[in-house]
Amino acid sequence: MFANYLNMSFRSIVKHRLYSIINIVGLAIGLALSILIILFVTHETSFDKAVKDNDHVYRLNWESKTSGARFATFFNPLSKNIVEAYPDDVKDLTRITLSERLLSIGDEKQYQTISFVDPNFFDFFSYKAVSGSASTALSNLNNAVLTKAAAELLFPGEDAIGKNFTLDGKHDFQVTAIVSNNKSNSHQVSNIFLNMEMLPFIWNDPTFWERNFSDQLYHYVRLAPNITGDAFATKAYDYIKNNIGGDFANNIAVYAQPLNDIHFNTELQNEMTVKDTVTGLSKPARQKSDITIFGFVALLTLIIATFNFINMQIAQSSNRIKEVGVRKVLGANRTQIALQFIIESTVMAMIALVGSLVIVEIFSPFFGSMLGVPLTADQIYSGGFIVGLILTAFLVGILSGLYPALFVSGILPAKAIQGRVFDGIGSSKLRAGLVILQFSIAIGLISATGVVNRQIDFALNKPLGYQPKDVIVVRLNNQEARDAYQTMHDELVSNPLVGSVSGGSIIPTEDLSDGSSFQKDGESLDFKIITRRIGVNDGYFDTLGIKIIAGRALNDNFRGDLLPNFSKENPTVEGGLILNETAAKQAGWSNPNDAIGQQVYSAFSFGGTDYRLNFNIVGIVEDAHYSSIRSEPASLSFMLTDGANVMVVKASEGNLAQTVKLVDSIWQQHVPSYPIRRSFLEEDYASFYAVEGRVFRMFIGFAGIAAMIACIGLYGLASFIAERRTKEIGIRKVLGASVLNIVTMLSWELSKLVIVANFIAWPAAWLMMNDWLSGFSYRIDMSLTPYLIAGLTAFILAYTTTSIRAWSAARINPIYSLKSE
Amino acid sequence: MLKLQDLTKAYRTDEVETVALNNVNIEIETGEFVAIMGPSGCGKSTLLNIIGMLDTPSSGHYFFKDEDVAGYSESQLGVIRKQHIGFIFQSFNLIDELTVAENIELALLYHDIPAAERRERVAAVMDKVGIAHRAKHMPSQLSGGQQQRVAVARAVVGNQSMILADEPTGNLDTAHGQEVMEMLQKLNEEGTTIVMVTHSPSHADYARRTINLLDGHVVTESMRSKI
Ligand SMILES: Nc1ncnc2c1ncn2[C@@H]1O[C@H](COP(=O)(O)OP(=O)(O)OP(=O)(O)O)[C@@H](O)[C@H]1O
Ligand SMILES: [Mg+2]
Repeated sequence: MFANYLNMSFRSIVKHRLYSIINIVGLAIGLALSILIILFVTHETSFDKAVKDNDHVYRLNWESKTSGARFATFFNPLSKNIVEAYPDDVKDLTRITLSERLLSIGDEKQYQTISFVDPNFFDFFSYKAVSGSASTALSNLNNAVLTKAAAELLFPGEDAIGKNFTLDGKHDFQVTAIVSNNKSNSHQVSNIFLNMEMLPFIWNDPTFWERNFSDQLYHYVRLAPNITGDAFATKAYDYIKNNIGGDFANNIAVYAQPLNDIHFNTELQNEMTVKDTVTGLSKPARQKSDITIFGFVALLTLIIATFNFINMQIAQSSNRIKEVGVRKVLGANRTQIALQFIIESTVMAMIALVGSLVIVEIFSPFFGSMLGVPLTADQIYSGGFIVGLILTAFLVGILSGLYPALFVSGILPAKAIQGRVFDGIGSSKLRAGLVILQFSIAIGLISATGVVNRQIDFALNKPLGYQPKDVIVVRLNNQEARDAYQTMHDELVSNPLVGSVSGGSIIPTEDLSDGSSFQKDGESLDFKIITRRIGVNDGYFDTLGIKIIAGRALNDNFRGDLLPNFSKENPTVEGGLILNETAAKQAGWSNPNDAIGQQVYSAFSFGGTDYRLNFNIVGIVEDAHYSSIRSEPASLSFMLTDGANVMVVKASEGNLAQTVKLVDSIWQQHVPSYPIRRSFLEEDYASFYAVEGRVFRMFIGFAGIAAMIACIGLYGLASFIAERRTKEIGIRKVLGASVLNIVTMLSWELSKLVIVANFIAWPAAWLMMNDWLSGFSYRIDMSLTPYLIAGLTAFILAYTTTSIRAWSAARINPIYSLKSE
Repeated sequence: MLKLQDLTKAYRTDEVETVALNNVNIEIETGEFVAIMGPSGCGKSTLLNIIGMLDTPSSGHYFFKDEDVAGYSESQLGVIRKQHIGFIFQSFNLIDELTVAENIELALLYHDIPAAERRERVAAVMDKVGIAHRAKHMPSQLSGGQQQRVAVARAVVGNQSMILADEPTGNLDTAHGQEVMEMLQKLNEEGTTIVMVTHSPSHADYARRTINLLDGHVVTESMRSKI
């Protein structure tokens, strides 16, 4: 009998081809989209979950009370002391720092990111050994460990074990172990590992381990199960307070950041790079709200597709009342009829599931590359995922078969045969409800899409506060380069190709470092300007195009601008200072001109000496965006320095290509031992935002497809209604109705449901989007426009689809339609 | 075979109550050929539907093979109906998406009959009504007469002992109508009980007995004397 049901199901599916195809395709696309999004969401939410005991792994952070900034790094030597002080609480500690070095193999030179780690790093983060023993490899300081990817990159086609390489032209290392690659859902991006004890030599910093306050390393601890991260952070702080104390202890706070938070935290300074330079994969931190929104879209798409499916099945079932009557007359009982409907819709749902898996298989690479995440369909077939999918399809099938199964199967055969069953099979209200719900979701999605689109455009086109055009960025990544900076600067400036040259501690798109806070004589102790500090050279603002809105730039020609070195003997010094608008406002100078000429100071004591740095505010600059468009513009202070970490060269109009050549040749001449590391600020900026923009463009695409699915369903409903009413249409025409009359009548019937849907969709979407926008500091104002557009779009789509269907129904010659009964 | 006692059927729609059958008393013996006649709206179809257990009476008794089925539920009726009763309708009521053979086979599908036997019986019955050559055709490709022959085949393929026909010739021209009537007569001669609603006095003449209805009442019963 079951085989018979299946057979009949296939027959019926083939017979009602149009409905079946619409219905299956709609569900398949909906499922595929949901699966793709779920794959992405799962990938993102599974970050670092493969690490053993990941719930108990934390990264130590510290916070500067001066600037309010929190750092992903922690003090180099202190973690070890703290861990030793609490042996019962900490099971394991491991540390890492990444540093770009010049790596040479034979004559071949390349910059590579080298990771300096504790030897237990590989066990701590559950790397698998590919060859050699990773756990013991780094016990020898001259050994190196590579990931598989690094081994293939550095020694292509060879066995990397036993091979040698040299760092910075003087330190030799031998590869003794190869480990598995970093998982795409791990925040680790390291590929070439050396023992951390090599740092003092590589960085030429013999006192590296002696400076308690230096924070170049990331410190991870695996805690005992019975202590929370917060409790441990408190203990760690207590240790610092009791053993080091002083201003240092007063000015910091300690945090234990859960490992599982790292991928979702966009707020920390000194964050580890997210770009794996060997594999090219970038793993940007995500805001949890973005992931939630994506998950929501997946759910809504699935709901739309499901409703669509249920709607169509219900609509269709009333076309089959007579058939059911005949079957009953011939001896089918109610259960058999009900089973028939349920099996039929389940078969359709299963076909749709298979279709969706094919779609996912085809589109996941494209989809993954758009999102910058390597997605493979393989994940679907592992574990509970596929089971969940099959259950979902079953549920959709059964749910959509249930209504016709319960209702249609219960109609008395006498009525069913006579076709005396009221038009809407008594469920026109239910169907109207489903259409309204389906369109509410679609309209909600379209309006959300509109809001997201406008916000992204707004954020990406917002004035940056600096001019990245034609600016070449040169990293002064070694001592030779830093020593040659002034010479290179002077040579470049004197060339007519070059507009201007400068340098500084950091430039926009880079991470801000720690800050300074300023007080003012004659003001209360509450008066504090808390800023992030940037060291700049002469011409910094000019080269980067940061506007000075009051006063003047810092300038080598003004003797007082450069802050002299302070020391025990000379604890009070004086220099010039520039603030940005945000910092000036913090001080209460709402008119920037009020700030010019004001005197502020920064005071601290260290080693028993009280220091006081006095500053004259000489200028105020416009807010420039150093970090993500999502965050508030930071409060910044600029001081003149004579060194630089990065050199910026602005080419004069139209001379960028030649200037690049000039910069390269001047570098080669003055920094012969190191290849140049340069980029264009415009590109750095673009890649900074590219991912964010792309992710949301994808979102827009999804919402569009979801809306399309909703319209497919509407077309199906319109066809159904038109078909059911062929006879009525025929009679109306015989009585003199025009085609237009009929089209208007039918279209209006469905379209008015769409109007009702707006009133459900708008408030819901409004609330959601308002919440999402609150994550942006620069945000658009909510306006009605996207909602009106969404409503109008849905209405037009609904009206058009139904009209098209109604038109073809209305044009049938009444002779045929009247005969059809 | 069956006996209706004080049987009443009332339809309740929103405002009005229509009494379609009022205190009907009828007895039909096994092997009879009965025609039901009367003006439009007098309750003929209603009566036939109740006899065929497609509908239930509002009050009264319906003894089918000495079993009072008046109070039975739809599913209980379904079981009896399936064993004993076949139907023929004015509008044929074939399923459009099934072929001729499949339409006939459908009547066996719900009877737990093995596939091989089903095919045999379908083939046999198609031969009998003369549509074997149309087995693979869709109903829409047949003339009305042919469609009705398929419906007849479908009604008898399960060896039902009683066939109920509601204006089986209503949609057919004279020649085709004649054909169907002869087929019914032949079935009756083979022992099948037949109850048929018709407007045509000449077709009613095929029956041995005619029941005349008016406004839900049985007004006359007349026997045709055997020629
Ligand atoms: N499902 C129903 N709901 C309400 N009233 C009904 C229903 N079925 C039949 N009727 C009414 O019951 C009465 C008898 O109907 P019935 O179909 O039995 O008439 P009929 O004798 O078969 O007529 P015709 O010769 O036109 O087919 C009519 O007045 C009809 O309107
Ligand atoms: Mg009738």
